[in-house]
Amino acid sequence: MSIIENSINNLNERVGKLTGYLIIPLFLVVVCEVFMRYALNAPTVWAFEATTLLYGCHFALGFAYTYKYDGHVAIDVFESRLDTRPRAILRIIVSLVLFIPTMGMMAMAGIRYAANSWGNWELASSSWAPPLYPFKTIMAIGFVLLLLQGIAKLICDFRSLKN
Amino acid sequence: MSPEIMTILMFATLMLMIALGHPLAITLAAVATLYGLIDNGGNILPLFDLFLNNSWGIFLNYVLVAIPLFIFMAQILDRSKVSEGLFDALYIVLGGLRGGLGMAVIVVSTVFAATTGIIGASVVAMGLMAGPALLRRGYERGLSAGIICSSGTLGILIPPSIMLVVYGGLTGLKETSVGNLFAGAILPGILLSGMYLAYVAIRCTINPKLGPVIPIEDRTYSLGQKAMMTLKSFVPPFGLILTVMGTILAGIATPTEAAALGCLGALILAAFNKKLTWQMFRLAADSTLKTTCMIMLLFIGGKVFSVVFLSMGGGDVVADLLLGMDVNEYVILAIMMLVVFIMGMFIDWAAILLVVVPIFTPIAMDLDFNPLWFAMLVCINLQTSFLTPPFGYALFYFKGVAPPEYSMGDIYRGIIPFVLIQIVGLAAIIAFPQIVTWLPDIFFGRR
Repeated sequence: MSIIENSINNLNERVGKLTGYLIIPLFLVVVCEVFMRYALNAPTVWAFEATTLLYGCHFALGFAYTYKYDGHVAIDVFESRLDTRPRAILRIIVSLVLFIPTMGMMAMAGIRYAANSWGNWELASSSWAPPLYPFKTIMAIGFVLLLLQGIAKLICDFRSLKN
Repeated sequence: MSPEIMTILMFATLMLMIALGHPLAITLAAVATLYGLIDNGGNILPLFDLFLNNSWGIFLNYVLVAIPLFIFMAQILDRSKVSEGLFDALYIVLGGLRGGLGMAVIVVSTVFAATTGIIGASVVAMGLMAGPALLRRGYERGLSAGIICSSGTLGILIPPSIMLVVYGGLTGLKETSVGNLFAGAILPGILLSGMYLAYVAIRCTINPKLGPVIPIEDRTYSLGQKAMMTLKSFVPPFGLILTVMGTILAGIATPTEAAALGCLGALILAAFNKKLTWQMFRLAADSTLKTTCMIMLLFIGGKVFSVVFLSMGGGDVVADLLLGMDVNEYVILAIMMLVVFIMGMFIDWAAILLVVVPIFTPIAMDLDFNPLWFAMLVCINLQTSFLTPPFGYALFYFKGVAPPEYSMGDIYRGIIPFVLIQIVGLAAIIAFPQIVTWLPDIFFGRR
């Protein structure tokens, strides 16, 4: 079990570290667009969409990494007052009842959503018309990674229950 | 089940689940799943197609691109020690006044707020810098904590502000575009900051023990030297404020573009301060990712919650309840504000915005309230949520970095007058809507 937990943690750590750097192309594309429009008087057809697609990848791929570091805001004052054992039990129950079903279905639906897009080679309805299927895939991957991180946390809670 | 019962049950379930300590975003989505399935008779596939469609809409939302960019700008600025220079200058300039050091903290926080859109950074920065300084100079602990927490929280209101970007992205209304919200928040932000300054000046004049003047040997500089120091420390942040806010207000750049220009400006500033290293850049990118993802997952959770809530007819239930009362429209406004205030004691601002705005905005429109003015009232109110016990995040951030002499009791005690000032400020803006609408009318014209 700990192999699964460790590999999920390693995977999300790597994905997160790399995803963080997406902020660089994101801000450069926007700055570039402003420069093209005012300095060269030649606004691009692609910058607007490229910006939103980059920003989407940035946050979608970072969900799991943020969760790994407990970065998703939670009202944990009651939980944190419990002793280790009851807290682990509470977390396991909440994870099984709230997290796994919801994110499990989000991940599955995300994969289906992306598959549909691949099925008809979906392009954006704009003049640049970038393909949308890679980005819908990235959104699905984001939800799958988040689900995996939740499973890693669940395994961790089970482990702390045993000790 | 009738929509009324479903509405009450859905909210009750949410409140109960939130207390379990699971991430709010997931809890919102889970409650939405449960009630969505009850509402549509257990059809899992269509419900999740709906959720995915909404998530994809957020993925493509250009307005929200400003969120990671403004966060990144704040992270770079926070690490380039711009506020330290400001504080050192004001320490000397204002140190001779009673309560002067406290006022210096408020001025620095206000300027810092006008360059960043998140509060964690400013409260932490001021707590680290001014927390020990105020203590050393014999400032009363409660007052010091109140000054730092309340003025540090201005970052969420004074534009550029992540909260206003979220609000603008959420409503999609022309009246509450991010540009309009930014212009509208300038005067309310300055008003609150001015009220804090006046409060500190008056309290310390009446009772100098609360905030004594700093010793003369710490501030033996000529007037010319003082002017030079102030100028040198004020010019860089003001240049940045002008770049970001100026391009938005002049209609040259969208808020998203202005945010990217701000990132560029912040990087240049950091390079000038010799703080721009690869290590610093990496850490800034890393914190940016975590803060962005926290807000964006909450955005998805809040969105699917409100989609289910509204499709169940929950919005109409709340609207009928409030509009059905045979009372003055300002009573209804007061009730809505009270709901936001009380939720703010327990829940994070973004979750409140995402749940409450889709429900309250139609009601405000029905009452013929100016949407921009209403938006600003909600945002000022939410700013207070950072300070109200039991879960005032600013208080926890401060406690985390302040010297151990500051007890939680000092902090809770010290924050009360500032929360009251904010309520007075809110009342002033209710009474004089021009405080909000005047600047947007000038810059973007009356519609």
